[in-house]
Amino acid sequence: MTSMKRWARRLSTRRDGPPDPAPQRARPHPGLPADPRAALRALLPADGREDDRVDAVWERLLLCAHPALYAAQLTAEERAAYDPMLDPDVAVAHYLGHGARAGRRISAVFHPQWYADRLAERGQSVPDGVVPFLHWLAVGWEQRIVPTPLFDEAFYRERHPLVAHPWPFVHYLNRGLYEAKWCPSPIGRHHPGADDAVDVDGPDRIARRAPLLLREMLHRAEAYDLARTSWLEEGCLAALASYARLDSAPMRALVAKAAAIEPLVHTPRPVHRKVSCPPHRHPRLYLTDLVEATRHEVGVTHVDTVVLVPDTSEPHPSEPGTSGRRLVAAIRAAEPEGELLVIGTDAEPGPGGGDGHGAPRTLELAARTQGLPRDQQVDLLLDVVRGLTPRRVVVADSRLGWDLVTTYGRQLSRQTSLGAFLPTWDHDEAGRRVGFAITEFRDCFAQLDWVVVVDDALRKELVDRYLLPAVSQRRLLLVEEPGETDSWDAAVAAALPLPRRRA
Amino acid sequence: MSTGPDISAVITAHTEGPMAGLSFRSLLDAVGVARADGVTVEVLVVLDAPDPATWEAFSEAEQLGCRVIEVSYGDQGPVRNAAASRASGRYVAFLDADDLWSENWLAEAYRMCESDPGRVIAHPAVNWFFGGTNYVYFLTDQTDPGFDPAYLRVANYWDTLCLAPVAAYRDIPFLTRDLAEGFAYEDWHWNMETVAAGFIHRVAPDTLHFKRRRVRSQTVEATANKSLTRPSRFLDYAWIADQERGHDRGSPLRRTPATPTVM
Repeated sequence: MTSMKRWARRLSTRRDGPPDPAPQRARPHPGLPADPRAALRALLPADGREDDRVDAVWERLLLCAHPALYAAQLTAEERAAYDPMLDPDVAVAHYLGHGARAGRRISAVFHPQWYADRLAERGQSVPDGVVPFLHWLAVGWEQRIVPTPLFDEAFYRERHPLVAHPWPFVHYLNRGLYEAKWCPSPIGRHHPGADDAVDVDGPDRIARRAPLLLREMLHRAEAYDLARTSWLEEGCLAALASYARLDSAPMRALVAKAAAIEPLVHTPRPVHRKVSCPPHRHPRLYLTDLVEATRHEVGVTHVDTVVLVPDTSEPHPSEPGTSGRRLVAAIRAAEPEGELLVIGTDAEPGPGGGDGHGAPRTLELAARTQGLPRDQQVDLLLDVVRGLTPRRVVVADSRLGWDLVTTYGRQLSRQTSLGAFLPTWDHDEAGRRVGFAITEFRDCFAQLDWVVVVDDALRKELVDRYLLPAVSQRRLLLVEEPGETDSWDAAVAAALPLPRRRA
Repeated sequence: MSTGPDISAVITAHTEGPMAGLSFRSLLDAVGVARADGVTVEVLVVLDAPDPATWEAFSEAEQLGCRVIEVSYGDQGPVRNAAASRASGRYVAFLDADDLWSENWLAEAYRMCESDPGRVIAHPAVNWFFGGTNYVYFLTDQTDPGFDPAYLRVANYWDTLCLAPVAAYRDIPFLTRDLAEGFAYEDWHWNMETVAAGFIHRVAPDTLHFKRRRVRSQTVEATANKSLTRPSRFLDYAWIADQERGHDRGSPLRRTPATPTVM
C-alpha cells in the first residue's frame, strides 16, 4: 500500500472507529517526534491538554493538514530527507516537531492574518507563545471562526441549502474541498475538485481522502511567504475587496442608475453574485505555468519539423515504434540542415531515456500533462507548435498529436504542413477495425498533406473504404519495405515536397 | 494640433431593435457626464445591416447631434474598423447596442487614458452580467502584479468595449471572424497585438459595463466551434525570447511578483 493510500485509509478509519492511536508509520524518521500526539499536547496551551481536548485537536489537525502546502515551505535538504508529499504522516509529524515553532503553515484553510482579524473582531488574540493554527484548532474551532478568506459561510449556506451540518465549514473541510460541485465563496472554487486530489479508487473514495495538490495556491510560490499567504489567497482577498467595493455608495448609485434604464440589470436576483477574477482563479491558471515551463525546456525558438510520437524511448526492434524512429531518420536524411524536434506525448520514456529516435532534440510532454484535462493537454501542445512556427508537423502514432490535428487541424494547416504516419489500426475483440486511428484518419485527412503507411493492405483498405479518388491517393504513401531504411527515405522524399493543400 | 473631439463614442447596432434605445440612452448619459467634466465627445451610431426595428430605434439620432453610419459586414471586427476609420476623436470607445455603460465610464476612462496619453487602453473595473446569468467579472490591470503575459497566451483578459487611442484601432485593426476556417476571438487577438505593440491595458476605477447575457453569443459559438485566435507574434517563441533578451525592464512580457491590487 502506498503511503498516500495509508493516509487515506487512516482518515477513513478515523471517521468510523474510535480515535486513532499514535500513527503507525512504516519506518521511523530520524529527527521527527516518535509520538506526534504527545508533541501536539506539548504545543497546546497548558489549560487545554486534557486527553479529550487533545483527541479533538488531533482529529481536526488531520482533517486540515495539507502536505503539498507544507512541503513547499521545506528546504531542499528537508524535502530530500522526508518528502511529506510521499508520506503525509511525515508532514504532520514534521510540523509538530519543527514546523509549528518555526512558523510554517500546514493548512491551506488557515490564513494567520485572517484568523487574527476575526479574533480581533471578538476582542481576542492569540496568546504569546501559542501557535496560531493550533490556537484555532483548540479555541477558534469551538467558536466556529472560519480562519480563511477562501470560505464564505453565508454564501455556502445560500448556495447549498441542503447542507445539514450545523457548521458548514466542517462540511467544506470534509467534502467541499474535494468535490467540484461545492462552491465555497462568491469568488468560486479554489481547487478543481476531484482532479486536484491524488486519485483514490473504490466505493468508499468519498470517505478516503488523499492530499490536495493545491496548484492554485502554489502558483508562483517563489514570490510569496507561504507561511503567511499565497497567490490564491492574495488574489481572493483582492477580489473580496473589489466585491465589497460594489456595495459602496458610489457603486450602488451607478448600478441604480443603470437599473433605472434597464431593470433587468438586477436579474436574476440572488443574494450573492458570483465573481470571476482571472487570473487568480481560472481553470487555465495551471496551464499558464505549463506553457511557460515547456517553452523554457524546449530551449529553442524555432524548428523546421516537429514529430509527435507516443514516447521518445528507444523502441524494441519488433515494436511499431521502430517505424517512428525510421521516419525521423528519413526526415533528417531528406533535410540534414533542418532543425527537428521529437515530442513524446502519450507516455513517459522508459528506463533507457528519451533519445530513442536519434533526434538531436526531444521534449517530454507526457509527464507534464498527467492529470490535466484533455483539452488543456491539446492546448499545451498547440502552444508549443504555434510557438516554434515549424514548417512541418508530423503525427507519428501519437494520440495527443491526432487530437491536436482533429481539434485544430483546420487552423494549423493554414500555417504549417501537416503529415502523419499511420502504422496500423486497432481491432476490437471481434477483429473489426473500429479502433484508433480510423476515426482520427477520417477526421484529419482533409488537413493532411501526406500520410505514410507501411502496409499495402492497409493502404488498399483506406482507398476502398473512403473511395479515395486518385488525387487523394497521391497523398497516401506506402513504405514498400518497412524494415529497409532506403524504403523509408524514398517515401519521405516523396512526401515532403508534396504541395501544401491550404493557402 | 488636432481640433477633433477628445472622444468618439461609438454604438454599434445590428438587430437589437427597441432594446438598442436602452443602450443608446446609457451612452448619452455617459456622454453628458464626460462633457460636464470638460471632455469633448462626438457620438457615432454605426448600423451594420440593421433590421427595420433597429434602424427605427436610431431614426432620430442625427437630431440628437449624432453621426449615423450604415455599413454591411455582419462581423463586429470590420464594423469597428470602419467606425475607427471615420472617428474624429483622439480616443474611441465602443458600446454594443444591447449593453450599458455606467454613467461615469467615459469620464473615468478618459482620465485613465490621459495618465499616459497615447499608450493607455482603458477598461471598466467591473463587467456586470445580467439577464440569463448573474455574475461580476473583475478585469485585470496590466500594471497589476497579478498580470501574467503567459496567461494571455492561453486565455483572454479583456473584451473590446474599451476606450483606446484611435491609433490603436487604426494601426492594429480587428481581424475578421471565419468560423468555417476556425478563426474567431478577434478581441483576444487584438489584445495580444496591442500588448505586443506596447499599449498598456488599464482599469478605470469604479466603472462598470452592464453586459446582457446572450443565448447565442459569439464567444459561445467560437468555443463550440473549437476556434482559435489568428496567428500572432505574441505566441511566437522567437518574439517572446527577443522581448525577454532586449527589454528586461520595459517589456510587455515582464512578470512582477507581488500583491495584487483592488479594482
